[in-house]
Amino acid sequence: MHSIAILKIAAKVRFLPTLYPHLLRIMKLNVVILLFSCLTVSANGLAQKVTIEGRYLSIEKVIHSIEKQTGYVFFYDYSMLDKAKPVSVHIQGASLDVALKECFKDQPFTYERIGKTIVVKLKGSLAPETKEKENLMLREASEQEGIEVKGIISDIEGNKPLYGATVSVKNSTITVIADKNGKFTLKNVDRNATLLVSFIGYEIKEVPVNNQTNIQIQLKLAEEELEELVIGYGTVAKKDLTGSVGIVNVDDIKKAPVASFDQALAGRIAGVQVSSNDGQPGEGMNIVIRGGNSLTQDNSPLYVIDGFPIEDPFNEAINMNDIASINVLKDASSTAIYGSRGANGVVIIETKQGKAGKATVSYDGFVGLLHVNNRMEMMDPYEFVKYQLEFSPESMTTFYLTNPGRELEDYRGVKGIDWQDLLLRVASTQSHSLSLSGGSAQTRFSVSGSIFDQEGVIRNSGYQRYQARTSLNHTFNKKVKIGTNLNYSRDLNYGRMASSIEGNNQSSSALMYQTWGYRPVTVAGDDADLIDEPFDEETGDPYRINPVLSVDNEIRKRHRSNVIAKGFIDYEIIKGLTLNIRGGINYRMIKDEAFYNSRTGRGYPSPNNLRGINGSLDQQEMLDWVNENTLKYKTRFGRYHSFDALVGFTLQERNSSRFGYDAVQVPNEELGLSGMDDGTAGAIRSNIGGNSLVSYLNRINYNYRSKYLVTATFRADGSSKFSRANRWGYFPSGAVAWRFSREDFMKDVPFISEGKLRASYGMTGNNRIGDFDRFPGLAMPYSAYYSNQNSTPLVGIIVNSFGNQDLKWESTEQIDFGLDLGLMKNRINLEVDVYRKNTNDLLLRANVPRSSGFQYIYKNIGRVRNEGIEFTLNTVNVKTKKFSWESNFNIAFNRNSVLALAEGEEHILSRVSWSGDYNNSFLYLTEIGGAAAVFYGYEWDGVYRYEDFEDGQLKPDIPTNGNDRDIIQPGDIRYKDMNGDGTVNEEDMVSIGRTLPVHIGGFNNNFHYKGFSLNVFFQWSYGNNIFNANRLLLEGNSVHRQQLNQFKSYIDRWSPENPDSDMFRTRGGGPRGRYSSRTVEDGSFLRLKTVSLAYSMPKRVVDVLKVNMLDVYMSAQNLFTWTNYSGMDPEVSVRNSPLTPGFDYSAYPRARTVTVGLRTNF
Amino acid sequence: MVSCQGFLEKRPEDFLSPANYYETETHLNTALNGVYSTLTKGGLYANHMLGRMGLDADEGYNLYNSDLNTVSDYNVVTTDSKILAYWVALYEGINNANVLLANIDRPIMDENKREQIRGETLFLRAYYYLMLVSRFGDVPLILNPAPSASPEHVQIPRTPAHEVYEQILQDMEASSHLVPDIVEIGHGGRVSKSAVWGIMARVCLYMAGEPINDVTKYEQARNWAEKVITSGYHKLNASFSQVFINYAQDLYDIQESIWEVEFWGNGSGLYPSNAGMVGRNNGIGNTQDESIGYAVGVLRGTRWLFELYGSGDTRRDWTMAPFRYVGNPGVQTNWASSAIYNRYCGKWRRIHELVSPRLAARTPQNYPLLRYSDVLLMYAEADNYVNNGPSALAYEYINQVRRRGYGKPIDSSDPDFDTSVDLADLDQDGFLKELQNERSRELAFECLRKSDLVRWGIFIKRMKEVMDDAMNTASTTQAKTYYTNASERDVIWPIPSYELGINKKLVPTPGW
Repeated sequence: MHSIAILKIAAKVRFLPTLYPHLLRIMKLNVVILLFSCLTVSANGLAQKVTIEGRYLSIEKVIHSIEKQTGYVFFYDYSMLDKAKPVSVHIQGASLDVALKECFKDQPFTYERIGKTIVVKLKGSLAPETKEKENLMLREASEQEGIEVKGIISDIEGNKPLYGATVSVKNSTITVIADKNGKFTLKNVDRNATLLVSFIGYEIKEVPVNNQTNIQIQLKLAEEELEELVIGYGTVAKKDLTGSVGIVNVDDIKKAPVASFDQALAGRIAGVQVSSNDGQPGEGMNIVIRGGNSLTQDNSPLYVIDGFPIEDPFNEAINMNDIASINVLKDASSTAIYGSRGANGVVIIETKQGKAGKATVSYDGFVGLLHVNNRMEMMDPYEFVKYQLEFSPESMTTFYLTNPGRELEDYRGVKGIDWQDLLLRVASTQSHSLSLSGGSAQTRFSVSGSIFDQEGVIRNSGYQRYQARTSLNHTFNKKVKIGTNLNYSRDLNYGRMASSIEGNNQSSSALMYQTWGYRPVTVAGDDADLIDEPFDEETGDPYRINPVLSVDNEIRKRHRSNVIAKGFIDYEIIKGLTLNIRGGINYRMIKDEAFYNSRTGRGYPSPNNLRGINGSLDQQEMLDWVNENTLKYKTRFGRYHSFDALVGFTLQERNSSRFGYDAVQVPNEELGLSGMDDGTAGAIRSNIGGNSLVSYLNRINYNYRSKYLVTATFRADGSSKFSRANRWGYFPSGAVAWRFSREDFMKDVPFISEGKLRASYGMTGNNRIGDFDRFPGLAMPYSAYYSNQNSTPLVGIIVNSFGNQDLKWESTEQIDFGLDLGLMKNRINLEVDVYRKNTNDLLLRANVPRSSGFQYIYKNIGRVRNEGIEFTLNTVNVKTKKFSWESNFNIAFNRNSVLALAEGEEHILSRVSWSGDYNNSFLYLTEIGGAAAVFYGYEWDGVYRYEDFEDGQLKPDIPTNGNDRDIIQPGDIRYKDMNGDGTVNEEDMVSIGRTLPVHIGGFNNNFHYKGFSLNVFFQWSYGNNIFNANRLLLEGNSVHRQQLNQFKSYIDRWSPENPDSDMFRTRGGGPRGRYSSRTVEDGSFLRLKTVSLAYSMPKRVVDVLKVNMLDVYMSAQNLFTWTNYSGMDPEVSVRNSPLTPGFDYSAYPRARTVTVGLRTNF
Repeated sequence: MVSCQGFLEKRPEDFLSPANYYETETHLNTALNGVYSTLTKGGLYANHMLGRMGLDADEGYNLYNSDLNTVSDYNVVTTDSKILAYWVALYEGINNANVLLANIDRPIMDENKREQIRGETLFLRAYYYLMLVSRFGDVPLILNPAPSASPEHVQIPRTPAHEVYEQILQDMEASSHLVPDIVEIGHGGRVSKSAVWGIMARVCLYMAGEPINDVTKYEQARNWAEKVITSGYHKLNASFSQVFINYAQDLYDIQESIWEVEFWGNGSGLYPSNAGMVGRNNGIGNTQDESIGYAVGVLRGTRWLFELYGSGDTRRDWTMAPFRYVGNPGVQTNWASSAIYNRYCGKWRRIHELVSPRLAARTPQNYPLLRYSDVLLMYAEADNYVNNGPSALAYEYINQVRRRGYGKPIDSSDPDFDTSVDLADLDQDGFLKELQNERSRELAFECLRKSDLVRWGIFIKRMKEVMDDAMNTASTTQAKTYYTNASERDVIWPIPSYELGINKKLVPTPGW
């Protein structure tokens, strides 16, 4: 099954180099192959183990034997074998390395393994006769005219014939194609001619004939050529890229044990900020590319999944193991081809297609545990009771001391209930993914399926997903190709949303608040009662719901189904001109189920619970379809001018609907959702919407010798969201790039292996508003009904939205300059991009005075700028045979500033909704010249001291804190009186902290040692603040709730005995609803995000198991976080929007995940 | 591209737009219902105003843990959510009225019916402005829908209070010619001529007092009150308590109850927001026996109010119930005689409700906006000013109210007619003082007191007097806190912080 290759080589220059690249150069310099026999050695199926036994064996025999056993090919000069010594060895089942070492130990040769080739050479200098021999041969050959040249074309390792490679004679019309063995024959070739040899994916090679009749040609893999990047409506070689495109290392992100790719994306690409609101399982990620353009509208990028543009995909629907590549288009030249939807960047995801060849089955699975290792420290029973006695001296003395007949000291040392421990758990996770792919040259297929199941660290919460996918590609003939791709997923996210609140109870309905604030001790001294009762009966406060029982009894489920079906047909009309027709549908269904029985906070029969035991069901459906038709033309002028053009026409439409109903006062709670029909009908919801988009696009690329590159694109979009007059948006862009490393003068700068300068400019758009936001709306909610003469309420109609027919596209112009640099043979790769984006006519959901009758109105106002610089550094730090270390480092700085707002406006204020009076306060300021959303509020100034008072009255020159002067006491919170008018009111509010990071980034390391590989990935965010609203309620109790436990830190509060404390006294929190710098905290963090250690089983194990590869691995996610933030986790933004970032209230704790897993294929 | 126009033409299917509404008489009536529904907002009469916004001033205070440190106990801050909710509900109502008025001439319909709708809408808008101007002072006066979203159309500065009042009077007067007589309507749930005249009397009294001090309005007040009295449609109900039982039972008595908020149902099913909290918030505390009807009982009377009533005045124990419910089943248990400050407001008693079951969260009870006794007292007050002393009619009207209070016949033609409780021989100031007290005896806990004290210029004086008493005799901390917290600046509420942030043309109210 294999033949022995014996290569006898005579070289003109010093023979048998020590380094592989040198060898190549020698090959180029007319290596004469004197003897050649067919080189179709395959390593497949051959054992790597070598057995040689015998005494006085010739080296030749030994070499043959090793070749036979291993499939390796030896490369040596016959003549030198004369110098060989006989070999006496006893090798059994040894590795190749050991065998070689043994056989060559006494020989005058050295050897080196290069791929599947072992190059053998003489120690010391070459024998002089080699050169003579060659000269002799050249002389002989030159005597003939019009020779026949035979040859064989293989890859550089010499073991893969390149079937289909083209060989042409320069300056002639003679061209032949290599056969399946890589062989070719050219007749009547000028003995001094030059052959041009090319093959897709390999570098073109020029081979002078020089009288040779039998030429072995090895083509070097064009590594950079192979890196074809998928961009909008096509692909481009990385070297020819003119725009700024971030390439995700898909292998690395797969090492993170998470449900979907976006959860592993943070810190991977410069300028792509990825974060989650909190640790809630199954919740999506926020991705912002190069800073947010929009102030109130969604800033997430457009996703293009296998060519299907989707603005809001279920990223969880895609199995990480199905992903072939993820590219992030960042600059306008790359994104403008997506026109109206490109302004926020574009994430292009390609999934794997089957490969021709033997069908392969792959499996990847892991199991693991999640836990939360940190806790908020709460007051213990003694401290809690002490605080209660201060808080309400009269009633709490009766409650905790007089009635049970106790002293405060009796509570000292009492072990309190740790509600956090009761709520949180060690949860399990598992993931299994199985795929089968394969096919023939004509038809390729891939089928895969996966299961993901992750329990949440909070009881009764978690996430599950089932997913399946098939893809089929078929090549009818040279002209027609078709393909389909079908992905189905169904997932379930269940359990309480930790940070969400419900209408009336507001902040007290949030889960972590309930958990932290629940009493740690009872008067009766029976903890079990408190733990088992649905509410705190001893206090009789019906608002105090037992969070653990409630969570266990709640049903909240979100089921989602997603079908993405796509198909395409490619038709090559004439050479170079291809028509591509693509169609697809994306069907999504979301079903929300909720049921609250009498042991839950929402179903408990309290006087404020209008709904009693209640349930609800909501179903949303979205059907998107798209049709894209593009014509591509690719051609070359002469040798150096390459040109391609694309024109296209696309249609896209979405239809969506939402229907739901509630049942209240459900009598039979044990029936759960199925008992809803026994209850009373509650609210009924129905919504129907839809939008459509028509687009024309085109792009032209011009490429001169891959040295000068020019791209221009243009897209026009019409969207149904805008009125006829404002419907169409036009988005042009252009880019140029100069690969200066291909200039002649760069040959003198050997350490620069690759260098490119890029510049681009373009316009992109944004239409992220509701389907019908331009229409003023009337509504007929039941609350607008009015009874007449005690009749059943009669329908009423009210005005509920202002509408705005003048709404038009938001547009972003972006300029980008980039530098790509490869140093030391691309062992060091540096990418630097600077950019500036100006977004005009922002689609703004503008707050308006409530006196207008509206809360907000959509407008196009203002201008926002994002500018920044991004660095990406990929380095191969160490590369030896056994050990390698590669790292990727990226850092991005973005500065966001608002350049203009509506006519005459200097600022926008925004707020978050979470607790009573705080909801009416603004927490964010967006000012012209400043960044979108800085924290806004009062400058905290500690507390009032005794010396601020005279005769029990605040001194007249000391400003108030907003409370009436008469009631301010020592130990009350104090704010800075900015305007010096003696009263702290709205006019004293100032900026109290930035919300956006100064820089973000990631540092990824891959270590390989023998079969081990270790991935260590760090991610950080620096310079952003977080507003820790938990502390407003739980470190000072500014809402004055009785029996509410507090953080342990509040022990240090001001008191007559502790007059130096900065922490205000019990009940000294000042006017409610004021945000101050007291709870603005540094949110910077450095996180050891992913660590993964894998071991690839050695060949002997793999062979025994009859598989191609088998890896076992351990992965951990969120292993360590370094931060000054006092809350649970600094990656938090529970009311996330461009104008309300970085707000922490009752966030779902972020888990640390540790898993073990296994990967194999066969 | 022409073919694309159709594809890109998507019209909303699931909501209506002003452009395709207001086409028929039905549409106008539906929109009018929407304007009325403002009254049933939680921020107004359905919830917050009922004992939770300090409107009861010296008559009663709030005792409710959820309301601690809010406007409910005069701990007023500019971010107070109840104050913002009040502001928002009224301005939404005003916008609904403005949009209806802007479109009212579109349908082809019976002109009389159109004019009646116009009259009701104009009146309601004016009434909402009255609620704003009397509690915030200068407020933005907006009479047309905003033509565009630009700042000059939505950021409206404060209009001086007297101008707002003038507009209110003007609109109400226009309305008075358009709406029907109350007998034509037959119930107090809709705006009638009587309602318009009576409320105009109130508007005039507010203008005559602090802070506008336009004393010429006393005479107008008397004139408007007189129109109600002489219409012949109105008469005091012989039983004071029956007036309130009627509200609980959805019975109309248009002789006594001229205008009321319509609440409906018990809060279950589709119309939870059409039921209110009358009797639940401001009822006799009962948190256990559901058959009686749950009541938080946020509103408790003061010793001052209690002692205001003469012996034999039946209104005292109806207004400040001598008992509460204890246990389940709830047993009526009398308060100790010393526990005056513990007495609940007793005007709204859930036990009389007919809608069953009596759910804990909402009640069907209607709430009075204008009662005939108020009109009589307004006449007497205005007349006392205009004549520099009480006239015979002034005495007659105040005494009608008193006689009814004491359970005596009101009508001199009644054989048992009795003048033993009548007031007589008072000078102008003496009469005013008695009238002020009489208003409390008669109208306590009907959301009128604070505005009355403010216009008489005695708000802070009265609050501090009650504070002194509460400090000595009240057993609840909250009674002390409520009156201690009240300060000079509390005569009006601050413009909400939210509004100041968004509307840069607004200036903060002095003192905040």
